[in-house]
Amino acid sequence: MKYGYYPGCYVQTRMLQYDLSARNVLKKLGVEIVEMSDAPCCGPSVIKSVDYSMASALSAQILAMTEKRGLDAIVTLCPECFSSFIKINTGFREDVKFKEEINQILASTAGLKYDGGVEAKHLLQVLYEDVGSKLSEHIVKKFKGLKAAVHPGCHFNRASTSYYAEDPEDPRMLDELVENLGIESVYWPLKLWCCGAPTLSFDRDLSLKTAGKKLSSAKASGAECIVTACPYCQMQFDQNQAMIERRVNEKFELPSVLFTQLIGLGVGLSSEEVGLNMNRVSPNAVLKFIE
Amino acid sequence: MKRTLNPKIDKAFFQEVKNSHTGRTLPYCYQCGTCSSSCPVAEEMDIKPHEMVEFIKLGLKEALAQCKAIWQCSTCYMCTERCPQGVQLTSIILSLRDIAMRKGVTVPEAVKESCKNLYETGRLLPLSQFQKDRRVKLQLPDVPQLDTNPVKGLANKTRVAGILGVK
Repeated sequence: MKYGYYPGCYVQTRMLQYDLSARNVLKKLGVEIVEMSDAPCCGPSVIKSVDYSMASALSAQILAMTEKRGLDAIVTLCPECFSSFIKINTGFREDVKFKEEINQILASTAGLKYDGGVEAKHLLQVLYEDVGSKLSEHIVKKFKGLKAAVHPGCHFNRASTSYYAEDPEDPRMLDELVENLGIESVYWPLKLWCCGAPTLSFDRDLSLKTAGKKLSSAKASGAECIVTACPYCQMQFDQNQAMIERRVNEKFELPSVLFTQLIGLGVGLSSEEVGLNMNRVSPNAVLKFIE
Repeated sequence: MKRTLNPKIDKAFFQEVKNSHTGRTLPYCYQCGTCSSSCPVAEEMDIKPHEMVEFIKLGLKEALAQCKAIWQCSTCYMCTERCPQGVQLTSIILSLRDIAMRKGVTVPEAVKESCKNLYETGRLLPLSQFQKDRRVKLQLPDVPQLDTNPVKGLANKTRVAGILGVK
């Protein structure tokens, strides 16, 4: 199966370690991708707040472009893009009027039409469902005994009320992926909570406080690192950690690592190939578990 | 939030939200408060999530347009997920933001900037020269400039152009 590869605006500009590690992991595992870098923005929450049709038309345009290239699936790295696509796919299935309205807009602006035939997948699903058990054959290094607080991201678990990638109250996909690497996924009470990143530009103080509670909860549960699958969560836990520490007056020094970086190291990629040097909080505490 | 004794009531407000793209599920709310107790930011909100629905039903448009809470929502969809009545509250809050901006509430800088980037480049975050150079250094494929005509066409049909004042 070939996938359209859509990293999303944030990943391809500010979270290059995610783009880099995802591409290298997919290459190593022999998953074929087709570039979708000429596709526009997916129409995330901030655009949905302004005009829902505009946001929907943007997501539908990307799916229509994928369909036109004869691809069956599009893989995203960002849960926000993922949920935008899922909303179109479920909306098109359930509501004919919505489908007509969006297709009408698409025809007049981009000359495209979307039939609803592209499966939207997050990279997590590609690794968990499609690569599946073959992943463990590729693993050459393990992080024996590393305790991790796993954070899959809200928009992945709760993409739509009529489509579930996994149980939204007890997500296990990311946990099981990292458990393949010998990592122990700890129970932490605030696992399902939002990281606070979406409010960063509207209420900075609230955003940092929310993230502080999460980091506190992870630390108290004995986690030695956080594992993320979302560029915004990663930005919040890694790049903003120093700011969060100042805001809540607590030291965390808790490395946050993208799941593609961990899996990349596990399948034998070097730390440069997974962009570990671009993480702000030193991941040395994670690296010392490699055996 | 400042509470007033005789608040202005807009009787058409309930229908307005209900008719919005995502408001169909609004009438099913029975005020159990599951949304507010599941919300990670409710304790900081001036109007709690379940109260927002009640405010809509009471026609308190002015109060909702002026409140901080609709912008504090982190859009994590936990309320939508746990609602026993299937009310899609997160999406309704997104509609409330739109209604508030239409009612003359200052458009937040973040929204303006996102719309501007989208209109000019087709992306939420355009690539800076620094980021381009970094991509080259990491041997990541080039991110091409987009044909912005479809996005501009879209924006001109919707409120995005209005926010930017290009319409």
